[in-house]
Amino acid sequence: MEPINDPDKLLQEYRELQLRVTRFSFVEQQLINTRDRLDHELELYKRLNKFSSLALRDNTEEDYYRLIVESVVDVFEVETSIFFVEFSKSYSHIPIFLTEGFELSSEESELLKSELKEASKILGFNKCHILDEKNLRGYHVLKRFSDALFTVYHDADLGITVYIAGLITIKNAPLYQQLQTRHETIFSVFAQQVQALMSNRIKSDKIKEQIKKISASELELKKLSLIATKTKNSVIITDNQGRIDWVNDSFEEMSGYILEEVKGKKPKDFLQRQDVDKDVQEKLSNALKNKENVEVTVSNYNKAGVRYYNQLVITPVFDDQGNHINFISLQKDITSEIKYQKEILRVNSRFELITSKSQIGIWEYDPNIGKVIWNDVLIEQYGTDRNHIGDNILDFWRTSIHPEDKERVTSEVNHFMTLNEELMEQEFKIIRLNDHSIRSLKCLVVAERNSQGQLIRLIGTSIDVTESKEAERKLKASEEKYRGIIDNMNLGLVEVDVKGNVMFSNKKFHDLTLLVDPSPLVTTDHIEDELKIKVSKQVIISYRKIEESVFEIDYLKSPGEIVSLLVSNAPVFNQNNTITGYISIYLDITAVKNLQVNLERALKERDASLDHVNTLKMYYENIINQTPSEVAVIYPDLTVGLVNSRLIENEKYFKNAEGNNLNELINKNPKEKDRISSLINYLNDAIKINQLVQMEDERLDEFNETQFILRSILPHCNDSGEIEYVVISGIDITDLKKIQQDVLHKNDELKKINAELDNFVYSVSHDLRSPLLSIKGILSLIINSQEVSEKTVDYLKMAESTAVRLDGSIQEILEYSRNARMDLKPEEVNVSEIVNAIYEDLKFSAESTMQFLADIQEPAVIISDKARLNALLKNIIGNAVKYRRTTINDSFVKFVMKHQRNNIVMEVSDNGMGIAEKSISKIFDMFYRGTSSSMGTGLGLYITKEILNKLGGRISVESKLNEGTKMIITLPIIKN
Amino acid sequence: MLEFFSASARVINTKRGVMECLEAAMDNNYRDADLLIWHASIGHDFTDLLTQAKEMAPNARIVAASCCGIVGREGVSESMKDMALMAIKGKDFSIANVDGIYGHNSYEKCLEMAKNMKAEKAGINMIYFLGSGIDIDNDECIRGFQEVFGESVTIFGATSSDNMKGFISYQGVDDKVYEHGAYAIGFADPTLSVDTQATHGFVAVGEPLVVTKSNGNIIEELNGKPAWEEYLTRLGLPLDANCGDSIPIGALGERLSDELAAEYGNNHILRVVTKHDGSNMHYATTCPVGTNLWLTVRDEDLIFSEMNKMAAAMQKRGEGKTPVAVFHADCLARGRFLFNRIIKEELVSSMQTPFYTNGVCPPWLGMYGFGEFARLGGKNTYHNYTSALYVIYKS
Repeated sequence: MEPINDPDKLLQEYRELQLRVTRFSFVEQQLINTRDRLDHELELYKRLNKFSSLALRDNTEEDYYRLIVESVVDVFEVETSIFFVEFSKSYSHIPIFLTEGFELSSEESELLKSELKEASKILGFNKCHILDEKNLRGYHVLKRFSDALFTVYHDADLGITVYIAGLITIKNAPLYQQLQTRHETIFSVFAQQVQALMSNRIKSDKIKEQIKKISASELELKKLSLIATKTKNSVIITDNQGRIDWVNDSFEEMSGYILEEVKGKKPKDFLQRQDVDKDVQEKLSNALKNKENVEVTVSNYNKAGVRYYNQLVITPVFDDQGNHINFISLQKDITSEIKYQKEILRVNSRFELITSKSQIGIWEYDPNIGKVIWNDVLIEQYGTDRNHIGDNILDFWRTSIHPEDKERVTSEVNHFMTLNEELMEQEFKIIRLNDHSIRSLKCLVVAERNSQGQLIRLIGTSIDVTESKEAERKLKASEEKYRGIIDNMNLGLVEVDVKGNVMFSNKKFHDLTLLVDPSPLVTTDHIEDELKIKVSKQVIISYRKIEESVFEIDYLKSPGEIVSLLVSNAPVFNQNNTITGYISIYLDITAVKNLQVNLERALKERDASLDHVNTLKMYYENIINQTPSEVAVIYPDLTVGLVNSRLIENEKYFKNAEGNNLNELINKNPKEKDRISSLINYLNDAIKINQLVQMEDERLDEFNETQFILRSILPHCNDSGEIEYVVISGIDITDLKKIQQDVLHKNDELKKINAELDNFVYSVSHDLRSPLLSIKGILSLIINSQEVSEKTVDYLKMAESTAVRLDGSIQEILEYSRNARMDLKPEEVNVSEIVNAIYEDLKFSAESTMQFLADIQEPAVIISDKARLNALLKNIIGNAVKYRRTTINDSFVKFVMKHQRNNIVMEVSDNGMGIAEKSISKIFDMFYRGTSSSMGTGLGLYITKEILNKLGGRISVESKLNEGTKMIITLPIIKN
Repeated sequence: MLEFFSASARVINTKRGVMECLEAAMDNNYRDADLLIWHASIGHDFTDLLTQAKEMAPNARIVAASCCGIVGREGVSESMKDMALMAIKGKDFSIANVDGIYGHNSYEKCLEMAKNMKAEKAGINMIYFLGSGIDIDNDECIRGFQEVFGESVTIFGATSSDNMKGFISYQGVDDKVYEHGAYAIGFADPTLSVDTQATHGFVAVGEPLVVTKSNGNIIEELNGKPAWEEYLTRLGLPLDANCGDSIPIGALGERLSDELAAEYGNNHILRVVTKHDGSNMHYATTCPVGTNLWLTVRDEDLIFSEMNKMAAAMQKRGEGKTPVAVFHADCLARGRFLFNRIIKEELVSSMQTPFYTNGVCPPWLGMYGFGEFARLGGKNTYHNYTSALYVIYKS
């Protein structure tokens, strides 16, 4: 391809390329869209499949139709849906109308149904349609939609018409995909599925219904047959003319006739005689004639001619077409019931007579027939009349019971009925019907039971006890009231008769004395003598006669508890003015007595305290006056509280200052104005910060020499934290000041000397090094010359070795001097580089087998003083090399650096000679050498320590002789 | 102290969807919920949603927003009938909402919400914001909140959407549904903190389009030509194309500073155009004249690698803590119209799995919307075309 040199053409091609890239992106997107559409279509089919599976489950009818209407929205992604089913008249099912995604009023629903029907007429059955806004415009409800999927199908066999629609509103149309042919296809499949499922479901429902009906008929028939045969009542089935077709076993037993004897006969022809009740006969004839139900009681005669009472119910039977085919007569022998009824009536009339005279209400209850009989007295007690209560006496009784008692009374009665007991007493309130007054009734209930303990009847009496109850209640209330007053009064009360027998004692008396029997304390008219006797016994400790009938006694209420009681005694007179007894009143005066004692004690203690305080005051004043310090106590408002004699002696303006304000002292002593003002300022500062403040004060003494006073001003607070007073104490520090000044002066001189010494050391060391290096050089030349004997070479080498050591010493002195003189110079230092350089230098001094190891944690660059760090590491690593064990061939030196939280830790370890334990504490001393044969100058580690002091670091040593040494250096991290 | 519960479902009937979600999230204890946050696809009836939620949790405050699809702990779903819920127990929050929020008043409306929240509850330390995604200036929204709460309070959340048509979006608060509303929840539980990050994985191509005339968030001209037409021409789309056509391929990129680009893992932050009004394009943030806008294309490998990087970075920042809940906002253009279902689910899986505890996903509420909020360079920032995660930790 030829290069294009035309810039315009290049630009144009570039733009086209640019457009192509974005267009490729567009094309790629189109492909994604297509893929998405296909994926999506597949997803819709999956949803359709899911619908089929869910529909085939055993859903309720409601769930099933709900599934259809929701699936339309789900599968076709429309906004709303409608499902409407109409059933033909032969299939008595109410129409189904469901929507999803929108709600309609009932009028709108009806309108929509008719619109769907109308649309189906135009569009036809069993086809699927996509409708647009134009198609829907003509309808009242459907016009709000812009797109619709619609189908309707009719199944004549099933008698159903089904309408399904999926719709999108005009409003939300931009959010939904426009309905397309593919939707129509899926919709057809969906409609077919719904049709098939509906068909199956309806057929299945019909079959189920028929089976249910058949099962129900069979069951009914079985039941009837069983009842008719086994019932204890007589059953007669006749034809439509009243001639017997069938009788059951009970009839045969009751009447003595068997079926064969009576078949084809009318019952009245052989069961009735002349004594038939005309009215009953007429009622029966009319009912049979009119084919109506009838219930009557007739007197019949059995085959043996014995009369019995027959309660009968006759029911006409019709077939499906309404034709009368049979009569069924159900009969029950109630002869015994009639007999008992008559007996009861007789007994009742007797009872009525007795009870009406005694105002006792009488009742009787037959639990078997649920009948209750009340006499007139009872009717009167409940304030009603027979017409009102009619046959519902039991209900009336329950209603009349007062709500407070209702549950209890009915429960008691029910419980009594179930027990095998004969008697029960009850008392309860009722609300009378006529005047709504509340009455209390006392009832006695007698149960009549058979030999098995079963209840036959209950008979009861009822007496109105309202008035007597009320009188009793009032009496009790009155008694309780006065008993309450007497018990709760604050006085113990005891009444005795003339013989000293206790007639009454109240609760308070018992509380006061803890006596169950009050007799030990109560007296007759000889109370004084009695009390004396009691004193000698156990309870009364002392007594004091106040006047004839009032005494004060100390009473041992319980072990360790003595109460003081005031006793007042008074006789009780009867109407003849004769003494019938005595009333004693006991008042607890213990608290008053205790108060009195406490008061006396408190007064004594107060006097003693005052004496003590005065003594203390004098004592402290004495101490304060004797102290060599100058002391004053000042209150926060600057009033002078106390001044000791030393202060008055030295500061005349404090004389007679007690009680005055410090500001007033300025006016009185204008010469001391500045000093007093200064004191006030410091005092205010101390009060403000509530802390000790110190000030230096100057004054001239009697010889006109300056005196220095150090005054300490200390606020004192009370328990609440408020400043109560401030103590000023002053001491003479004139001598101290002089010493201090001397020390400062000497310090300056020392610094100067030190500096001069440093300079001297530096200069001397520096100046010494030059000639020494010359000597070293010359020695080296001579040794390498071939004109020198071997022995001379040995001597010269010794001289060279000494010169080298001397040079080392001088270098170290210079190092020390440099460290002392130079300021710290923090900079970025690459530790790795330093260590490597030191290793390189030292490698020549060691055997080739010695290993130089390093483990430096990143970052290797730290902030430190490069020169000092270099000297420090050189010393320590140099020592490791210098003092290696030459006897081993795996000697090593290892440098490790780690970053800890705020520190950098460097470790230098070796497997060299090690340091004797006794020497470890001395190795950092100046000029210390482990042995006289040590190779060093004794300055290296001293300088190391000095450098670390400058760097703010520290060093520690772990070492074992002949095993090795580990030096651990800790340096603080310096931020850049 | 706040407790979080989540659930999601695809149910046709809105009310039943609400029932299913509440029961799945909280068993039978849904009446105890104090706050319900709903995301629902645009096909749901939002009035029904709020009514049913109120009936089932009568004491709860309820907020809702429409979206294009949801992401829950149950996975991803993008249909017209999705619904997702984050139910919260506890009182340490306040809610504010506004109606009628647009590009021109975004600052004032958000300032109003911020003031209301602050007045109602002290100690708000993070804000969940969800506004209408159509015609809104999200930079101004951030400015409004920060005016009251400062830059240190993290704003996270999304902008609500429809199914990528740019036609309508809904927001619901308690019993009211809005079409141009916004709500904000101020969380005030001092034991909670949130970590946010967003990633896209698109690459800028060609020469940028230069904004030559604009007004706030409305771009009127690009390269001196009517903006919308120029934009469509560059995209190779016909001039009658709508936002639904342009959104999947029309991500516009703004150049980030080197520092921010390093943190973001991409040189450009992306913006979406959710509405056009004739030739005027409604941009998602303020867009002054002179702004260079690059067209971008997606890079699938980059999308995955950046997602993995983001998850790893967030995990590292989490220092082994267990997330108590995760809120998640994804751009709808990263949904089914960008990836096929498998790739999309893979992407969601790669963002969820790192936050599992003992194989269990934490309560998760995610939506496909128009835009996302997440911090960038330590500042609250609005993004488009990203997956943004908001991981809540308890200290």
